[in-house]
Amino acid sequence: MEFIVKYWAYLLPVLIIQVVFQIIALVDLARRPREEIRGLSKPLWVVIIIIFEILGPVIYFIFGKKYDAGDKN
Amino acid sequence: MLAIKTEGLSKYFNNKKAVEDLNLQVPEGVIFGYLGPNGAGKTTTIRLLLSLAKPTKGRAYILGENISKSRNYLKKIGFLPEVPSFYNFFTAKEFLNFISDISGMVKPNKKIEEMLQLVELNKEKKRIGTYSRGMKQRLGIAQAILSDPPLLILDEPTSALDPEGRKETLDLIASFKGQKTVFFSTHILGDVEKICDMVGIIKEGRLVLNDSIENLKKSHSKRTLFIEVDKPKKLMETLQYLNWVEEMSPVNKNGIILQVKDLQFAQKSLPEILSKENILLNKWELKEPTLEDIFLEVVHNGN
Amino acid sequence: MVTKLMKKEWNEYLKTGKFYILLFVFIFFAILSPITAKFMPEFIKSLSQEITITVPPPTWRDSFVQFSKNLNQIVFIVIVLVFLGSVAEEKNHGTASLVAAKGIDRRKWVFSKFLFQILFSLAMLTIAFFLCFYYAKLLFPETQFYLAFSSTVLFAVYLFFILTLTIFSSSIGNSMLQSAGIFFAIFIILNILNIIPQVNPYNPMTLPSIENQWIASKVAWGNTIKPIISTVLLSLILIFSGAAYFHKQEL
Ligand SMILES: Nc1ncnc2c1ncn2[C@@H]1O[C@H](COP(=O)(O)OP(=O)(O)OP(=O)(O)O)[C@@H](O)[C@H]1O
Ligand SMILES: [Mg+2]
Repeated sequence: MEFIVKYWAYLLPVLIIQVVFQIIALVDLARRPREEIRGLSKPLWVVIIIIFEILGPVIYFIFGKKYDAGDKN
Repeated sequence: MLAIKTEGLSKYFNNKKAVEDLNLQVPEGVIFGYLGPNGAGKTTTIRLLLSLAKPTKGRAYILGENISKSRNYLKKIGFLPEVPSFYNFFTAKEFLNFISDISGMVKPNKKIEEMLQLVELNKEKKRIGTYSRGMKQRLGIAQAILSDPPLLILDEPTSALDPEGRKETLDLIASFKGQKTVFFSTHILGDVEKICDMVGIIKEGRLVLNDSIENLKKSHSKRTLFIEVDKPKKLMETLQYLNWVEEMSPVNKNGIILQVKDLQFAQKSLPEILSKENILLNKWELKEPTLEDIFLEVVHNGN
Repeated sequence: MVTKLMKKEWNEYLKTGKFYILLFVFIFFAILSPITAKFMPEFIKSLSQEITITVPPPTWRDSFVQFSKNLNQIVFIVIVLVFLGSVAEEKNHGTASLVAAKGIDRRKWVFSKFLFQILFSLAMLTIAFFLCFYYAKLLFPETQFYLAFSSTVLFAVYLFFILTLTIFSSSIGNSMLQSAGIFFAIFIILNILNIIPQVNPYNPMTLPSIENQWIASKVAWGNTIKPIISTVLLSLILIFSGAAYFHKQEL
């Protein structure tokens, strides 16, 4: 904790990048019709986007969307 | 010149002969209906014509060019796939913009608006990924005719459309008569009957018929008779041994439907038989069979 | 034609979020690398106050050790996953046949995808490098530009190879899964071959270890000519054979 307090100025940009990316992913998720979401339900994707930090949105953008709403996988 | 000509075109998948020794001839400017039951080889033929599949044997010429020599002929074709798929992240307009771009069109904006209006997608602002199958088919038609190609190859253009959309699409295709060559596959006979000049029928990979509708009706149709007599049983017993009678079946109480080899011969012989057997003729009718009759006959009996 | 096709790729990357994936992953790890180098030893110490572990004080070189490690692991995986479907998914989905039926030269189509990918990745790598360098300089004022830059250029050569292997796998495979199989099979074989000393100098897989040697001591372009030339040759073979295969393939 003491560590974070001491160096927050350096860590802040990293945190900002991550949060901005997460917000972009969440906005994409919110605007996407349910049929185009792959695998999990929307709330579960929200959890994944948030808890996996920078990798959450990466996983969502790569695996979370169908190429087409009509596609099987 | 022929818009499409194939010589012994064949495509085998392992041992399955999807298309076998196809000799198609589609003159320029005609609306050509390519008919066949499911799995007959219609889509495979179209994929061969578009160089999306390699022929096992044979050759094809499109607008005079041997298609195995160069793929430049593709620029003269508008193609609608059986199940059209697009870049779902584009809107219809963005997609047509992309198509016009790669087709080398100059100042395409007006044309794109026109096309969107034509297929009634001009008010659609959503991404293609959200479209219904019918909407995709309509967009598919728009992208096929966008660059005004002289030859259209359409794989079941009306299959996903509602009755209204189907009628509009058929009217649209019919409006190309004389200006473009349209080759379209279908298994809906009504569509062919309504708008086609020529028809090809494919069955189990083989072309069993390639003719104009006019000729077809002349040669196939006028060989079916409907007669009504007072003693149908007696007549049928007599007729069943004659070799010019191909098929016969009783209808209603006194009627018989007769399928004959040679109409003129039947027209002369029947009266003789009737008078000899002392049968009264009440009704005599030359049946004008629909394309459906021809189709079923061809598909069931071979040629 | 190639620029028109690349324009479509650009639109696709913007509209599908692929643009953001690469942008954010690159800049995130660019900034994170020097920070980890600087603070990790201290952080480890602060965690274990009872036992005193001796951690050597970090140097500016550690920033680029971290940067290289991140590029070769997480960024590598992300790039491959983003690009692997470029041709294969379009085949699977049917848009490839639509474009091919328009008479577009399929080889140009593959090249345009590759060209877009390499330009885009290099742009991202450049941004990432300068961010990383800026942060490293901030945290370790003695940071040397030449070494940092040279090692990143070497990584760019390796990246070029990886992208040709990706587009090759994508051109051969008919789905993302098949392409992934082809990609990792070749990747693993090359890594196994790397054990043999005779093949070693010609193997693209030696580039990351050379990069680490450089960062640890000094830049030595002279010894690296051989692997660079063979990597570029192998890359060209991959891209041309992939495009040629796709040109003949049934769609
Ligand atoms: N890629 C392929 N591999 C193996 N067999 C195939 C392939 N494509 C088509 N076939 C076979 O070739 C035959 C003809 O198929 P095709 O799709 O051309 O039929 P079709 O006339 O278009 O049918 P439909 O009316 O259902 O669209 C079928 O028996 C089909 O199973
Ligand atoms: Mg079909």
